[in-house]
Amino acid sequence: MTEKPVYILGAAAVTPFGSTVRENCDALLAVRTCFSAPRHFDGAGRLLGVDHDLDGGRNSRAERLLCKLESALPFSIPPGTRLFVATTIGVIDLLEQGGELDTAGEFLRLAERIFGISGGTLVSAACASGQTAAAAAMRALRRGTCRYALVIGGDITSEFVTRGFAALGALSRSVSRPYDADRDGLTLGEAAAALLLGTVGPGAGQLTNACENGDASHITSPDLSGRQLAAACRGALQGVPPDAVIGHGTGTVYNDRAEIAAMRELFSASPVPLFSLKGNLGHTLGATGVLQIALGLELAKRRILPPQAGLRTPEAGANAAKEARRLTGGRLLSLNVGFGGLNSAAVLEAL
Amino acid sequence: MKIRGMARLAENNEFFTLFRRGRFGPFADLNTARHILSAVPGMPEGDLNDFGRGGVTVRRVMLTALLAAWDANGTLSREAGVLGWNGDGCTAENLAFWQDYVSCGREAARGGLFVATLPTIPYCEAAIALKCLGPVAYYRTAPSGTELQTLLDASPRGQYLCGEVTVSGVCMMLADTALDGTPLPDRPTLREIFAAWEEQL
Repeated sequence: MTEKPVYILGAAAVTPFGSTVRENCDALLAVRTCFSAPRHFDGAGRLLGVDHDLDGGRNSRAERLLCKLESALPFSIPPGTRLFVATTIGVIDLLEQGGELDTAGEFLRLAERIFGISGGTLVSAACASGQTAAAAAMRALRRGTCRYALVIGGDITSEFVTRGFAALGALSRSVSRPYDADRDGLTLGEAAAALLLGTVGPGAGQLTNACENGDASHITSPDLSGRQLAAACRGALQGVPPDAVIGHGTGTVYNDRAEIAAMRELFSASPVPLFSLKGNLGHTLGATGVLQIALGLELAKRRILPPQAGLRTPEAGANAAKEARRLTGGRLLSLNVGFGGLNSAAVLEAL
Repeated sequence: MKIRGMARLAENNEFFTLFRRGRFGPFADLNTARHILSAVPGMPEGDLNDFGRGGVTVRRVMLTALLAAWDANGTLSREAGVLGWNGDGCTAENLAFWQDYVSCGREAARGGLFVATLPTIPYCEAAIALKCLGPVAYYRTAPSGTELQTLLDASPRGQYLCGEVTVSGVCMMLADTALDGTPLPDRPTLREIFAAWEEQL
């Protein structure tokens, strides 16, 4: 059965590099990074992908991030649009200041107010939240639940999350180096991104398919065989190989190993170029999946994959490169992985 | 969508199942409940070796999921997904992590408490215990059975263990979206959906 096409009608990305998709892609292609010491809390010497435009102010940093995203939208929101919001932790800075509140639920309420859409759906799937939200929106559109869907992904840098990941030993001593043989952990970042999806084209691209699963292996470590991640990729690809893969690529030893194993299982005969934007922007948690689709679409349109920031010596089997690579087509596979063994694969195509 | 099984846990550690009319407990604690429930004939084999790894919410969800699968009479698929819906989210876990960190002079945080700050964690632990390889996610929507029905109807065809956690209890439902069945009653919580069906059966 042919699935109803879901078009990507518009995309926005707010990161420390800028507030347009174009600026962000230019920064990736120039191998820029945005890591600096946070000023809004004591980072204990750690570098993060901080957007200093968000510093100051008495409201939540997450509210400022969402307002910045709203003012950067390059499209108007059609009437009857359904809202899907992805975050891992939401307005966690308000809890740090003594508030006893549902931080993710409050993030949803803020998004509803700022984007003027009531009755939104919060989607939380750890670090796979962004792509899982985009997939939920895609399915709602195919089901005919709505004509348009606005997918928002966002998370801020915070003492809460930084200290939590530090306690797990997941943070890099310097900065994240995805797919590098000597990688030593992730670097946290903050960003927000938006996608306007609809079933009536034309759009800049299509969200062609998505597939999520779990590996039921361990609560903080992925199944290193990558088998379930490969299965999710197969489910999303439906037998048609991609021209490139935007990986989750956090730069932790285990995450990247599982991803590389999945890529080897899928594409051993003809390796597909692999890239992670976390070498430039850090791990933006609930934003990353939406960001990968937003920036991935622009890269697919330009038919180019950026050099891998932070890469010195690629891990064996990782088809990552220090140089930009020309793509023969505009079909991309995007991956998200999250705590609890969560896997998400999505396919997008430039039109 | 067909509902295969449903179970709920009350505040006093007493468990109820919908179709098989099971009633277990009240138990003095969840560890006792785990041992007694594991020995019930026909109970699905769950890997509860890591039962003590998570907090109380994780344990409550694991046991209620096990009972929902038991209520479905052995029809739980290996490909089933596990979804959380509304309820309390993880506010209590967020506060526990942060207050512990602050009380330690903001010097060191506990990784175990940090992991629990994701609302999906109890559902992931249930998926691990029951070896379910489908998707795991947490959704917050308007409190309405119709919204939950819409969410499940739009999901890929298959089985979903769908749960709701509140301070007063846990409710888990095993739904099969590949099969036809009665629509969910338009009640605001899973607990009230359970009660509505209990009255009808």
